[in-house]
Amino acid sequence: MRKGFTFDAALCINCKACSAACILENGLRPGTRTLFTWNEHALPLAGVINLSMACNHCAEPACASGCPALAYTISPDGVVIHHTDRCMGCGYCTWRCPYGAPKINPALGYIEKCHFCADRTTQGVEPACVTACPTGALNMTEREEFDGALPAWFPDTGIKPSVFIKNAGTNHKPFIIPAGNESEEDVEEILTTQGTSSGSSGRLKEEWSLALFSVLVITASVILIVSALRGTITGGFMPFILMVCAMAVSVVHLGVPGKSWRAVLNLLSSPLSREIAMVLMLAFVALLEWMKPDILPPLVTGLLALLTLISIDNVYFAADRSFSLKLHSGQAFFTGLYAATWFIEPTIIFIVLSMLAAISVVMRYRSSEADSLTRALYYTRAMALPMVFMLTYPDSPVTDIAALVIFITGLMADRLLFYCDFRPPNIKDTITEHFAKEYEEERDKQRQDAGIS
Amino acid sequence: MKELITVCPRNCYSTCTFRVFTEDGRVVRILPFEGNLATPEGPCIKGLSYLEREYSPERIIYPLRRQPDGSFARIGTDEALTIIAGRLVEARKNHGPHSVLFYKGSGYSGLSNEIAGSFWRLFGGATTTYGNLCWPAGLEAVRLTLGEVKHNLPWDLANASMIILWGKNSAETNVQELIHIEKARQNGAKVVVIDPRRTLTADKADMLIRPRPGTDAALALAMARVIIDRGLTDKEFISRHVSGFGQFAASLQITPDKAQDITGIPAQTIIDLAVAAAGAGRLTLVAGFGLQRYTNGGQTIRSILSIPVITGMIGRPGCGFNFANLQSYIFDEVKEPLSYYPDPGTDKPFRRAISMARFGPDFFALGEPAIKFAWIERGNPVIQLPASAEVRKALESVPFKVVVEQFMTDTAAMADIILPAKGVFEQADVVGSYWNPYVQYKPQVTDPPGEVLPESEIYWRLAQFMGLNTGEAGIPAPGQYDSWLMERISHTPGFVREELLQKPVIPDQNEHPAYGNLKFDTPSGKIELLSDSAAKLWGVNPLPTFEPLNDLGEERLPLRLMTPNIASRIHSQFGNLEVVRSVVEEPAWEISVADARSRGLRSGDRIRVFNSRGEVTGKVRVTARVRSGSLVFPNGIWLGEGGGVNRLIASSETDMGHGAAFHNTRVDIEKLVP
Repeated sequence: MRKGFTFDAALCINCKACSAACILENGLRPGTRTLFTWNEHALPLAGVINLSMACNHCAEPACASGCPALAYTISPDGVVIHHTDRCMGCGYCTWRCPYGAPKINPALGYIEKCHFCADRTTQGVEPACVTACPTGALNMTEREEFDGALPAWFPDTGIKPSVFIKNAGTNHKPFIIPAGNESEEDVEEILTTQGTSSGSSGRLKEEWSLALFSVLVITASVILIVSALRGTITGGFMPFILMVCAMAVSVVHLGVPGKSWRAVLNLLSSPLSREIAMVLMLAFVALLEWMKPDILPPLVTGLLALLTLISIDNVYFAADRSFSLKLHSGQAFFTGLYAATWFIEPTIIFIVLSMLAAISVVMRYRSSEADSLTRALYYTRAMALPMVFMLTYPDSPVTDIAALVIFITGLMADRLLFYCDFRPPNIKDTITEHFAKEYEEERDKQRQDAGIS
Repeated sequence: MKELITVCPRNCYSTCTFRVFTEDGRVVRILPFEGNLATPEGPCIKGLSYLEREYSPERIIYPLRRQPDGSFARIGTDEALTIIAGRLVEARKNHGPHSVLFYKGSGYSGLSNEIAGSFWRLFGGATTTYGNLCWPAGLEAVRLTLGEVKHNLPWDLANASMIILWGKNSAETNVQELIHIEKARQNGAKVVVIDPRRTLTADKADMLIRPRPGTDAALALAMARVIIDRGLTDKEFISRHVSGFGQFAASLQITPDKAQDITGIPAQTIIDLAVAAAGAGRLTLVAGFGLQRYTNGGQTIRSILSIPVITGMIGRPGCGFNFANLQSYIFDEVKEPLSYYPDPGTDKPFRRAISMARFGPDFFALGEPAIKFAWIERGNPVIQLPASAEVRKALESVPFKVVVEQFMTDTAAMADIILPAKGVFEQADVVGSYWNPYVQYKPQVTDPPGEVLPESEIYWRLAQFMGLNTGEAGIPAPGQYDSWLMERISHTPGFVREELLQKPVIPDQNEHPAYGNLKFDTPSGKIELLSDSAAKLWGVNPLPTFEPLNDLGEERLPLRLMTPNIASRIHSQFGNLEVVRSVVEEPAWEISVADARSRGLRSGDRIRVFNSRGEVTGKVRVTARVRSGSLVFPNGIWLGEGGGVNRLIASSETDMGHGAAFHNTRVDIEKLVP
């Protein structure tokens, strides 16, 4: 039998007793149960949706399969348990989970997550959030299968959440009289622009260490690829130093740096473990190149470097819900390859990659959503594009060094933009997108009806 | 773990029963008690937060004395009581007992509170307050009309075919009522909310009608007129049980069109609502407290109450008028609202009383003797009383103040001596409810920490220090409290004591459906639409009328200030707790989209809110939950959190019952440049 929560949105009144009970029971900051509300400022034509969410204890949990440190176990009753003593605080599970269940404890560095109040359930007492709910909206159940009594919008990426959600599919709203003397457009304009993050550099600022890590690894990889393809021996010194710096930076990213050795424990299913393993291997290869330059065939070095770049991208693909990053010119593999062609000069490939980059950059243009940092990065990236084309003409007035600097700056800006654009699954976004769309359809329909009558 | 059934003794409709589990003398778990059919699920965020509140490092558990530099330092209990006793004796000797102010709030309910009254009588009397901040206008309106203040069992709501929540925001102030409302909805009932705000309760309703604040009586009387004009009244019920119907019908001047001008609700909506209500079959009309905190509050409740009266929806299951249900107050000799009158006979020789609603001006108009000593318990008057800047000034003028408190509130911070107050689990008591029908025993669950003494023991010890004879005074000695409590309840029939000690009981006196015997304790023995008592006692029209709001000389200010209660607090309690702060948004001044736009305001902007009484600054939140013309900020927020909204509120009584007309206040705002 699997344990799971059941939630009836019709009974939820947004009182937050469940969140408070979770904090009181488990002493967690932030609490692991969160109330998501759509339309809290009450667009007149729309209902208000409340969703209380902790962990859905999925049958195929993405948090556990993605955890590089094997910090997750699954109990016989299907409860997904996170063990803080095995956690290095990388936060990868927070990207993988579409429900926001695992959360970093900022004070302690490691992840905390709903464990279905294990201490209580062994005593036959229901979880704190369930017993706390004053209207009976939140309950628990035990059954063999949780067979999908879920609203259509509920994110289910094949991970089989053990949860039932009732009455959150339709947008119940009161009929309001009088409608109010403000125009609908005013209401929408004010209400929909507040509270939402207009910029997207937030994640970059949060994950600056990861961005720096990836820039360093890409640079090292490019050097190794170029030297392998040219057949010249540039020496492993520079790549090795870069890789060591990269690893140092990535340890900074961890909440519990002392447990960083656990990063490679889950090669079987964690893209992150594989990435770390590849980076370690590449660092070792660079060291070999430096110490014993002739020991490895150049092809092996180059191939390993390319695989490392792919393994970096895979970490993000495996977490990004929208898969938009598959076409992103800031991807590690693309960036590495593109940079390498600059040095190796098979012009035709270089031009093709430049065009792909240009298409990707143009397609990503969304000035209205971007904040100033994101916009600055975007324009830097965009300005570097034509320079590159100019340089493919032999009589370009730009010196080789200046051209290289502009080209590299553009690539780095693109890599940083990759973090701005990276969007791991997030239930708040899911709810917002779904209900905003439903609202717009309803509003347009009402406007049409009004126009007809 | 030891398990006990207990009850939350706060000033709240729900009065939840819950089970507590102790380990090593500390409550470690709170679980619902399914046996209370009104509150079968969990308590709210506040009830849960006792797990923090009782053990918070911020809790005051030793007597504190103000130092010359303004800070507080711990002193011994005996030392504190010696100082207090000396001050009391001195004040009584030099200025008489009325130079002592005894102020109590509504922060804790239970029979133990009576011991305070016994002490002050033994002392020789005191200056006290009369009236009540919360609900007396409505109580008086219901009493004048129906004779008593009661309603059906809360879970009877599920039997209604139509529920009108008139100004009641159950989702924040009476959470468990939503259980019964949702059951009614599942049975096919329609739920209508009438409220200027789109509350969390309105989100659950089928229809929200948003009248201009303070115009509810016009809406109700127009509905009554439609019902009468269309012959939709219950004629037999009226002829047998209603007095003054003819005069009432003849007095109804407000047509739906006129009501549209007054309330802003389209005439057709008023007609439709009236017809639906009259034809509902089983209509329960639930009125909140906010809509009677106006200078026309009592007349408003009388007007609304006329609808279930003329449609015969009184005294039947699934029907009725739910304002307050005092059926569990079986131990009170004088029930609210009569106990709010300035001079209840029992206290006459001892008491000089000033109005709670007009505390500031009344305090300064007291004459001789002036107040030399103030004792404040269960309350936070600096935050909760109207015109609180004046209240602060009044208290500043008192040379010596004792505050009994759990936390360093804005009032406690003014004290000369703070005595630590008992926690919810630390003394047995018996608690009634003004919503659910149960009489509940609240056992002592744990011992008080530090040097906390329950008030009963504070008073007993103080009496010893003053040489007062507590023998027959009803102030139990330490160790005698429990037998005092048992003795106190033993003279009242209606329940088996052993049963009460086990779980909540519905006393035999409880009548369901309320008024089911169709006997009304009014002068005429009938439901009084025409009430001579109303005219005599309060100088209002003997019939329900719509009285335009008194704007207290500030008509020119553009916004009406509403200061509702919110889910995370009972007035000024609970908001200081970390668990509450970590899940609830910071309070902000809520303003409508239209008003924000015309002033160039966006959420997060800082504003100055002002009127002739003062100003408060804070952040603004733009929301379509608020009607244009209104500004909303919750009451009870402490000064340090950007609260103190009552500095803007006038000292003004409601038309009846000696309540406080909080919501008559008008304000203007101004954007602050960051």
